[in-house]
Amino acid sequence: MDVAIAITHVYVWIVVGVMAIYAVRHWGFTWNRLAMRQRPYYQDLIDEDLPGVTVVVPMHDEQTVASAVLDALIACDYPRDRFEIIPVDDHSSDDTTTIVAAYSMAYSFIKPAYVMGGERGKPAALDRVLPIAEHDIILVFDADYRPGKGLIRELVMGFVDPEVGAVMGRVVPRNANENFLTRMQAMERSGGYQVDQQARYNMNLIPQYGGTVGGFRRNVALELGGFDPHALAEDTDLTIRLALAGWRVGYANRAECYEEAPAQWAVRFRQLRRWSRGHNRALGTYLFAMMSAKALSWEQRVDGVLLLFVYLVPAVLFTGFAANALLFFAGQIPVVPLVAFSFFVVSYSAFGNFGPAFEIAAAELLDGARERLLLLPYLFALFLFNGWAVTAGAMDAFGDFIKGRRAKWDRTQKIGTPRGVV
Amino acid sequence: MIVEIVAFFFVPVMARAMAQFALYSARVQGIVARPFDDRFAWVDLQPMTFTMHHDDWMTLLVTALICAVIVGVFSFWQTPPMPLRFYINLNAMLVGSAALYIFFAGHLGYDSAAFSQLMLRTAVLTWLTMPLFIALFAALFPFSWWERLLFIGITVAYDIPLSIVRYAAFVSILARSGPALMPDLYLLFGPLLDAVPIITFFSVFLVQAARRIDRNAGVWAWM
Repeated sequence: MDVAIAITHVYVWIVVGVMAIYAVRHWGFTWNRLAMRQRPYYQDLIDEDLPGVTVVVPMHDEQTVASAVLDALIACDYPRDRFEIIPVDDHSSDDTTTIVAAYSMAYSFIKPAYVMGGERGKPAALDRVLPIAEHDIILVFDADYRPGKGLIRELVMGFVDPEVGAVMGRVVPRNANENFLTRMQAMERSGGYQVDQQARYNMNLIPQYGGTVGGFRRNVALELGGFDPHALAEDTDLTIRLALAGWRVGYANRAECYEEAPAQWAVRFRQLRRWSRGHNRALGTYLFAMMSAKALSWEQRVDGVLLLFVYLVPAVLFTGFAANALLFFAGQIPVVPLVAFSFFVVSYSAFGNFGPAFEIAAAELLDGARERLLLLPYLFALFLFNGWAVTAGAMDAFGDFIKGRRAKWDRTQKIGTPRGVV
Repeated sequence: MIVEIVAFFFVPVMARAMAQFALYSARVQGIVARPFDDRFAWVDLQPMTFTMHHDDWMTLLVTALICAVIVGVFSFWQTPPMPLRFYINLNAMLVGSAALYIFFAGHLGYDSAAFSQLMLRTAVLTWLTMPLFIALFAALFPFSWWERLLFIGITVAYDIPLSIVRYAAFVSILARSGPALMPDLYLLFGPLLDAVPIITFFSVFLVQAARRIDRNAGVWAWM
């Protein structure tokens, strides 16, 4: 019994240590973003020849949003002779096929791919597009996104740097004011991109390619073996594989694109759970390779390892809470780590991008979103929800590993928010 | 630093006030309570033993069963928002598992005296560490010196009466309900609750700082 209590004590201290490491990391990111010199992206280059680009839009039953994303892409100001759009109709059973076919008849640069057999899901769709894409630079947009007129050009300019293997833009929910959940997600997103991603880009660490509003070099993706159709976080997979191979990810903070954030708790829960499952699978696959990567500096390796662990931390927190409860039952609760634990739990309240409250506050300050700062305490309501969803995903990933089972792609449900809702 | 120094000197006084208020409140309610001496760091504390309701085995089992039903209902009933359902479930799981623990082990690791000691020690530690924690938050943002001082001072000042009233309330609840609620009260409504006002006051003061920055748009020129 004494040994068990001693081990539990040690575990509680480990949990507090893990949280302290992440607190220091994010404190550093926030400091970098607010007080240090910022690294510009490449969009101010004006005398470069624009390269050819293939825009891929994976679609599975997207009849409510398909037209809007295709209209937005058609309105882009990128030269038509260096531009093609491949909407990938991935096993759709609604009117997506008809919509895509109609657009392809009207515009010669829209060349749809119809996937009606084999694996379903975004990584499988991307894998099928790689060999047929006409251009070397591939940009990816989810079907619920609305790229602005100049976005393609802004993103593509990153590839003038021969060291850049992938680029990432900024995702902004366009339905932020729809309800409490979407407001909270807008704040999470803000912290994750405005501060976290930009700071990692400033510090030459590993900004994450996010799987949408971003792109990569087709040849590099092919050299790295394409996409695993069973990956649930193909974005994390690609980010890590690029980093291990010595490629850099460029981050364009000004290249904003608008998405439809899930407005229902159950939908958001499934989305977070899927991300966590995929991300934790990447953790198991790449952890040791990242720790020993020769192409990376020690700072990049540390950042890469912490990035891989991000979706495991809520599970660590929950087990830390359970350990505290056990110690309480046994009359052995340690006061010092418990107080530290409580402070950390409250300041860390957005596990989607693992952005602590001060990071989100900095992002809102930079965005000039004064009124939203008053919503910061409400992030606490999200803490348990996010932690639960991410922990469930981590348990799924663990189950996958133990049972050797393959994950199935689960699409995030979209309703096609009216354009007026911003 | 100023608030930390003030806290350093005033913590013993506040800890004594916390103990005396709870003792007074308990006696007013007819709870038999007896203080004893304890020392934590340099602070003299006065925790107390108090009479606590003790549940028989049947009550404990029924409590565990009710908690299991609550967890079941809120796991499948989709209408309430998910965060609320999870929070209710977490409370029910803590209370239910504490009831089962007492059923099998006979008692919790904490009796009334140890719980009272734990509450006072936690409060002292929270008051002492809170200014440092808030200062780390505040250091990142363009607060003026007086905003920084007010932010830290008001948050600590708010937490002191909160801790005092909460301790008295816990004693009152435990005296009537029994120890099965003890882990839930401490782990979910204890130090975790102390940290929430930090973010609340932080957001209010940050809005002030943001307004000032808006008036001086030149500070954003580097962007």
